[in-house]
Amino acid sequence: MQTKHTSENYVDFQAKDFATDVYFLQWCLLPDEENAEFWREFCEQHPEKKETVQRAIQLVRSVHLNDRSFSEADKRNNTLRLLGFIRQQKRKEKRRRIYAAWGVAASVLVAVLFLTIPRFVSSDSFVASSGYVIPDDRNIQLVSGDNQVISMSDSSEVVYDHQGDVKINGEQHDLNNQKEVVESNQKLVVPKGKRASIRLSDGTLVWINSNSVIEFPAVFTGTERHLKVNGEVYLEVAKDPGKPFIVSTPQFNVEVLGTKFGVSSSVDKSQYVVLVEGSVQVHTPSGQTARLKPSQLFGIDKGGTFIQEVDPYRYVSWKDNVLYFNGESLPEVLVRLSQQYAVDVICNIDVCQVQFYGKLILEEHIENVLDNIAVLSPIKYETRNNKIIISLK
Amino acid sequence: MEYTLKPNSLFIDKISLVNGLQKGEDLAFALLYNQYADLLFSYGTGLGFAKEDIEDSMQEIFCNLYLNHSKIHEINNLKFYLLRALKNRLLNVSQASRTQNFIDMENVDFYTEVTVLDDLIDAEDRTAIQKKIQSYLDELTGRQREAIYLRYIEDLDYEEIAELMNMTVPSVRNLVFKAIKQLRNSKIPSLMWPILFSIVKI
Repeated sequence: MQTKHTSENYVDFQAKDFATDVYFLQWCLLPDEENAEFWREFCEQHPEKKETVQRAIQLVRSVHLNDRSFSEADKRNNTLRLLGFIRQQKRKEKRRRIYAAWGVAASVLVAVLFLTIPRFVSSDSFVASSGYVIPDDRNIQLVSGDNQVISMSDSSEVVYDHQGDVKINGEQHDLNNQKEVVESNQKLVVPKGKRASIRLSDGTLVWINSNSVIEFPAVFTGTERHLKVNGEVYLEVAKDPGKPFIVSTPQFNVEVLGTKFGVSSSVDKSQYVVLVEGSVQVHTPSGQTARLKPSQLFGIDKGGTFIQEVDPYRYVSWKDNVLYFNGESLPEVLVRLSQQYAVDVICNIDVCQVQFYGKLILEEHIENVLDNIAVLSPIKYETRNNKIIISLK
Repeated sequence: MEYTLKPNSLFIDKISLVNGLQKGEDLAFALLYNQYADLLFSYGTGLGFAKEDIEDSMQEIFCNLYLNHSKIHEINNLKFYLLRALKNRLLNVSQASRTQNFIDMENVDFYTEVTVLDDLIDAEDRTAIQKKIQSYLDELTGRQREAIYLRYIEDLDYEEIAELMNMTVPSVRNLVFKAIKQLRNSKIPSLMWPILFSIVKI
């Protein structure tokens, strides 16, 4: 029936000829089994045409329908109009809230009851860590099983050997010399603006981002290796098929099958597991289980759980002291930085439209990072009362 | 106007943007607006509306979204939600003002203006491709163009297109299937189509 669509018709075609051929366009715009089969076969029979076809696909992909955009000025004005409305609304809400305070208190109580019960029922591994408050101390702290506290500087290397002895920067520390202490939990507390890394007794490497706590035993004695996380970490788990590695967070558990991945469980930040390499299984308190493939992200938001394909390195690059951005708006970049360095950043609405591509090195001070940004983008900054104020140049 | 960026609000991905919206953070709304403004503008233009009408409708949609921000997590697909809200809003506007007379949703014409963004080919070829694709699309009905636009440009699935166009899923599939068939036969120039479904710019 479709006699005109024979491969011979296309052997002399150039990319632009393909791009204007109705049958080719159909395949690009509205692929179905029939036309997909035809073009797959065509490429097989005429491998010399493959490159041309690729180029033509690229051309058609660049076709946009109704390619309209607002001018920067329009977008800015509309955004300001929207923000004006939101702020006005917020002022009204504030006034109303004073009267409604009692009503709110009652509903909060109900919500708390709702939230905590399922946690108690479904898993015994969700304990303590969720309620842990990170001290305002400026230093990273290692808390041993018998509650000795060691403070250390930013770039410290903490290593546990297989007997549970601790070395910090190559120096031996007598923390866990009693038997019962060895089995009890050690705690590493990383305050805002700091990062740390640690090697556990089984050889597993853990990077801990700012504002995070991990809990682990000096040696893994049981049939499973347990690590408790509250915050953001990146793990390279040492393989031990006989002893599965389990990361528990207040929101979910991750069962590891030998692998590299990032976990974030801060209540304030995103809650996610992102897999770089290997395989992990995520268990939520509500009984859901999900097995992740590399480059997949398992996330929790108020609407529930979901899995999404992502570029995993963007989520874990902080361990290498860099952040990667791909078209994020400048406020997103600044929020990331304000989190990393625990500094308040104030910015002007204009910077909403500045987009950021590429990598950003996490230098020791946020000012150095901002200097780098200022070179690349039309912004300037100043420091006022420990706050950083960003505006357009 | 200035913001204080709170360390606990991270918008690096979709999840955290939704969390920010849920909390009613104005920065999240500003980012959402900037992210979808052009896309909504394109769709509104396709439906044949003037820039001012589209801008006003968008303003209302985003204000309403803020007023109901505690329920934002119930929205599965923000893009689809915004497109649907815009369409409903615009159709209400056109019913209120007598200047444009759309009788009902089914009779909304949909325009598609083709742009080839690839800049590695010379201008002449680009115009040729643009014209050719434009002429194919012109032969379709407004609804077929809308379905193609939503499927190909906005990347919605058939269920979403069906809801947006007030149709059942099988009839959307049928519509697209007919569009395919029509494109296929368009090598034989049909004089009927352009006359019946010529594009009328308002």
